[in-house]
Amino acid sequence: MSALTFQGAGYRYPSGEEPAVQGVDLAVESGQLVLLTGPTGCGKSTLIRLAAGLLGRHGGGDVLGSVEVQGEDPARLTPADRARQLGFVSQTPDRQLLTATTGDEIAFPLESVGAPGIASRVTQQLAQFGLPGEHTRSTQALSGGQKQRLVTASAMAAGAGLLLLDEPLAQLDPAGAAALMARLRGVADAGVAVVVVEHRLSATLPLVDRVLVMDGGRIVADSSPAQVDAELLGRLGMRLPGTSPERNASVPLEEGDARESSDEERRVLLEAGPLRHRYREADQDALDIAGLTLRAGERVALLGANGSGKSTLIGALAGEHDAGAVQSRGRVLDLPQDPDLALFSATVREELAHGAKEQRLGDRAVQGRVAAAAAATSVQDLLDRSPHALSRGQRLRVAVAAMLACEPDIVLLDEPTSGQDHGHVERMMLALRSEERALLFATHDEALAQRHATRVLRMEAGRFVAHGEVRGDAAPAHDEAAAGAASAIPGSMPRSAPRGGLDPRVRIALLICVGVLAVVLSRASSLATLALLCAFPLLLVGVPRRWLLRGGLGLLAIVWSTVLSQGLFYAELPRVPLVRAGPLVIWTEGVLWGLVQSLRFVSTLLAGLALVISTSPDRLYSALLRLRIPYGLAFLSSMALRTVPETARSALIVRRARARRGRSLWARSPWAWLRLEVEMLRPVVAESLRRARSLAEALDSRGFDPLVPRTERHPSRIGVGGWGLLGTAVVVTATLAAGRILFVLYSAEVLYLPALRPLYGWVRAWL
Amino acid sequence: MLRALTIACVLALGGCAQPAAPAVECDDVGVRVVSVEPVERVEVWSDGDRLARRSFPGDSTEARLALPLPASEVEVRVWTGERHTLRCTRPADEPLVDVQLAAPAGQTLAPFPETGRVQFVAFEGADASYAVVLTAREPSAVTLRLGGERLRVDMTAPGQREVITRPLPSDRATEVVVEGPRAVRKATLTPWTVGAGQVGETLALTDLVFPTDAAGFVDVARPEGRVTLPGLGWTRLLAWAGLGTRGQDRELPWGWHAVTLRNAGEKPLDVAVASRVLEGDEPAEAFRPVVRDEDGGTGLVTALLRIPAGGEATAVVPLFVTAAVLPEGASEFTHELTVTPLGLSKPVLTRTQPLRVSRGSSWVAVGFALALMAACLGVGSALIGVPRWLRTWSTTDLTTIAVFATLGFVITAFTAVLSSGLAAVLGPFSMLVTGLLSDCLRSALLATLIVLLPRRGTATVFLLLGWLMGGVALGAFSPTDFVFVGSRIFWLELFLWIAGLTRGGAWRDGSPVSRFVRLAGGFAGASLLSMAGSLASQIVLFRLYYAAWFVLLMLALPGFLYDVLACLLATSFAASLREVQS
Repeated sequence: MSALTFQGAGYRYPSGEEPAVQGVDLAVESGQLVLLTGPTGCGKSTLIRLAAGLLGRHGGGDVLGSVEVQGEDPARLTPADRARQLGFVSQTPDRQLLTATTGDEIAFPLESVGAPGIASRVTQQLAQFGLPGEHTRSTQALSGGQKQRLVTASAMAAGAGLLLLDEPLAQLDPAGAAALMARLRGVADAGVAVVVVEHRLSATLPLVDRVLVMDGGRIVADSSPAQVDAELLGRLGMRLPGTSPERNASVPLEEGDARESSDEERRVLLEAGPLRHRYREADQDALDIAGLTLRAGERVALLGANGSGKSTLIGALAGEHDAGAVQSRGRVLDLPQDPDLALFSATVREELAHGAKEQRLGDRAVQGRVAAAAAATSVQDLLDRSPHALSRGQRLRVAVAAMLACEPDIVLLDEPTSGQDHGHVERMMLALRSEERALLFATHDEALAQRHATRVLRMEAGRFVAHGEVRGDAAPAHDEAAAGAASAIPGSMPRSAPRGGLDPRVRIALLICVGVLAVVLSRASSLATLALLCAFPLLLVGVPRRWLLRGGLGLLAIVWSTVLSQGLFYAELPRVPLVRAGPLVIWTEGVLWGLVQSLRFVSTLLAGLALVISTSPDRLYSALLRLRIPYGLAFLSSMALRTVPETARSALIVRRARARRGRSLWARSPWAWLRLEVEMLRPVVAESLRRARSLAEALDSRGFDPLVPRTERHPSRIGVGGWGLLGTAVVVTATLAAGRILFVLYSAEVLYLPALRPLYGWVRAWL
Repeated sequence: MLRALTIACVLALGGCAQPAAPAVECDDVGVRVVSVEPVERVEVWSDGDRLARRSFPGDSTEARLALPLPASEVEVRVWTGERHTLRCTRPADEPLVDVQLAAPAGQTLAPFPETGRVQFVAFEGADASYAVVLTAREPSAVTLRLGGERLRVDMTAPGQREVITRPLPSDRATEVVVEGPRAVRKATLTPWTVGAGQVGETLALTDLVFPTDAAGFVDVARPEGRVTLPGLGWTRLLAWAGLGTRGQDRELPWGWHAVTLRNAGEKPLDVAVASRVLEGDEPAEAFRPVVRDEDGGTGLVTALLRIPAGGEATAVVPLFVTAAVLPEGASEFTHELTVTPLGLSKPVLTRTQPLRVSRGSSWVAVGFALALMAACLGVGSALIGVPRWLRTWSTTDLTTIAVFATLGFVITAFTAVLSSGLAAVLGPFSMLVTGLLSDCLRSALLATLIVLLPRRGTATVFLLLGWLMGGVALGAFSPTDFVFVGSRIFWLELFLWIAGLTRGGAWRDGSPVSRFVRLAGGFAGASLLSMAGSLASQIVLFRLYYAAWFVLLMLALPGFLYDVLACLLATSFAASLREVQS
């Protein structure tokens, strides 16, 4: 039985009239490593998602013909069977990471299928894919290549016989790509059928057993690598490795740091340096260069492995990082790594017109700019469509067109070509060329640098290590493992707390007790005691400085806000004016009352801080599951929390992109400002929708079932001390709460028991 | 006395076993009840007629009813949590007429002494009088000799009461003789003459405590110097239902003033301690002892007190409150206390002080009750719905809600940082500024999510995920979340359903105006009620004060207008994202 079989298979999207894929008849055998390639938009991703059963479950369109994995319809497999039978990996590893640590990531599908001996299998799988051995290593601390290997290892962990990968090399440098392909070869040799969708033929062809070429939703060629039709690929805008005229040319790179071109006649557009930047809590500088000069007409390619500092340099030049002096003589525009984040208008026409309008040009001039930019990037036919509803290649071209419509003097591009076919990339790069403009672009594609750069700079560990004018071959490959070590995600800091100590359930229960007491207590002395008790754990765990700052700010805001509000609104008599400002009076008694009341909020804040500082999120979620929070809900919120840094970063990128193409957001009317703020959500939300789909695909392929109980990797037990503390806290809290309730009933004239008079008095005097 | 001691011993012995029934004693004065449990009410019945009834506030275990008892056996009904029916008979050899004496008149009536001297304080130049009170047990005739006057009084029916008042000379003794059918009693009323100005110097008010219990002990359960009442609506509800402590007996005083007076003189003083509450210069209607209707419109409540020479005595003066006529919120009245020696027509001591009344708000009570009810329904619906939704929704839908929750969390965190700074300047008003950003963006985001996934439960899962994220990332788990998150879930789901937003997706293809109206109706309505409930909950749970104008401002802007704006913005925004989704 074939591992994967298509019979007249196809798929029509709900919004499409014609099938995106049709008439596919194909069988993939176990042990085969198959490359599926073709131009952008030809249907490769659709076909592979059809094979994974994802479109059948979530697509909402029509599945044509039949698809079978090991003789079964993949769309009808149970979650556990999906994890056992097939693995699916998409283009962006960051969007497929489901958990916080490498061990949990591998264990996820194993837990889904209820596999025994999870710990040993996790270790085995990590070793097989050449990943760091510690199970508790944060997934966010891995390099791009390591992340891609991790999600692949996770997809395979439950013993799937079929592995489907959608452009797994798109985000990887050449060394990383080669390393992953070597792993996939090993997986196939172990008897697994592997299908890889990819544009990067040079990295894949030498290792695959079979090549499938798609065009227009159909498979147009099926051959061995040696028999691939170069002419066909050429017609489709692709090139076979070794057929490029520039292939044998070389870029004679010299060792050292060359900050400036040798052509000194051209006008200087940008001067920067020295530039130095270190991400928070990183061990070394992400960027440390003496300087960089860009001249008009220059096209500078930045090469280097993942984590070598290319994105940081572009960020510094674009003003994202305060790394040093940057002087520009002209308009600087940058296109983020994800060009979708630069698209924030309702239609392509508005997107292209935005920059010109912001420059206060007349209607005719604006239309002229729009037309020229659209023509240069071949998006004339898309002007009335929503940018985010376009294909990825189209969105990239719209983003570039929007930049061109602003007529920038300096353009900064951060790997904008990933996942694009040759034809689209060529059109885009040609459109960006101008004698009056400087272009700096970061890329892994050395051939692209050869074709379109006038100067190449190679980076390593934040420094320029080689430079040269473009004439020939690319520089030698870089060690991927070293890159991985230096590529911690900027700005992210995995929270890892030692296991042990109080069980998180006890900590949560104590926090809830504090919350109850904050409601029950009313006296300054008792609330102050509570606040001191809550501050005590913070002294034990040691508060990091940034938490101290945040907590301090929060406390200050709470205290002041409460004091001011109660000072203004205090309604009891007597009250003595403290400050009079027209009709507003701040009452002395209210200020004192506000101080007392703020202790209530301070207590809960301190207790909350103590909890989150001393307990890692995965332990908290583990505790929540044991406290009967539905698994699906707890898992989704943990996953959502992990995407916060990325989402926040996206939001900042959008803000910056918008600000660069227009006036300052603050220099507007409040309504216009608010409208723009909401509009800026558009690209972030659009990206989030795509991320949601990627996450759903990853979850589906790893057997996620929101209701089925899972095996537990992190068993925990409440010790005697924990029970003692918990019992004491619960008894004290319950007693005080009962006293308060009886007192409230008495105050509300509902219930008065003469025997409880001492209790009433005690509650009033002490609580 | 011996009998009382016996009763006490019996009760003490009985206390070792199960609670004993009260003991009752009939004597010349009336009925005396001694009980282990506090006595709540006593009624005296004879031949099917109720002779007397009295409620006893506080937790006194001894009660006395002064009344002339018939010669036959009476039935005494005693309430001490449960009802006891007891019987007793007045001693047979009692005189046919009870005689009591008040000297000077106005002083507490005391049994006429068998024989001897009764000393009293008289003031120079002041008119005083004394009173002899006759109460018939059986029909008979009594002859009185009052100074030089002889007087015959015919008592024709049991219970007949006669009060004979005569001037009391301050410069000589007065002899009073009562000749009844069974006994002759004689007393000499001897004055201690005191100068009227002298008494003001020797009398001092040493302590005034409010509120106290009926025995004059501090009421530890209530704030000092203040009348605290629940909201008007709540009071009325309790009264209507006959529930609660005051709803059951509206004649009870709200509390008592304990007035301690010192007498530095060498002779004991009889004084009237009068208390009233004024609103301006007039007696405050809310504090008149209306149940007795004895104040003649003066609002005065009076207690009589004898202060021993060189000693102190405490009068306990009740404060009656007619809660129904007091306004909500804070109000202030004047409490006036006067001390008038009996025999003088003008007070020698006057003390005025503010009497503050704090009254809860009915609106707040209603708001909190609604929030609590909504929270129960919201949490209940989530408990029932979430497992079903998790089971039936696609993973893509779940992850879509999760990433929207991420966006909401980012917006919340961003605006929290922003509001920290703004709050340092604007205090509570910072919400009006930051709300324009955070509320608008979050509502626009949620509105967009509803456009993308128009079904019941989307908002619930979104809110629950946001709550869990906040708890895990910021430690923001609190029991009060039950009210705040639960009620938000309920109102949102309810209004979205009413507006038709979660009853299918056909509305998404309507005109922009109809989409906006539906979105605004759903979101602004839910937001308004959530905000009102949230403010009421903060007032109740955290004992915070908010001015009415501030509450209205919060309801109008973050509670309503910002959501309308958000929906206005989200209408076109969400439509374009539908294309992305498809």
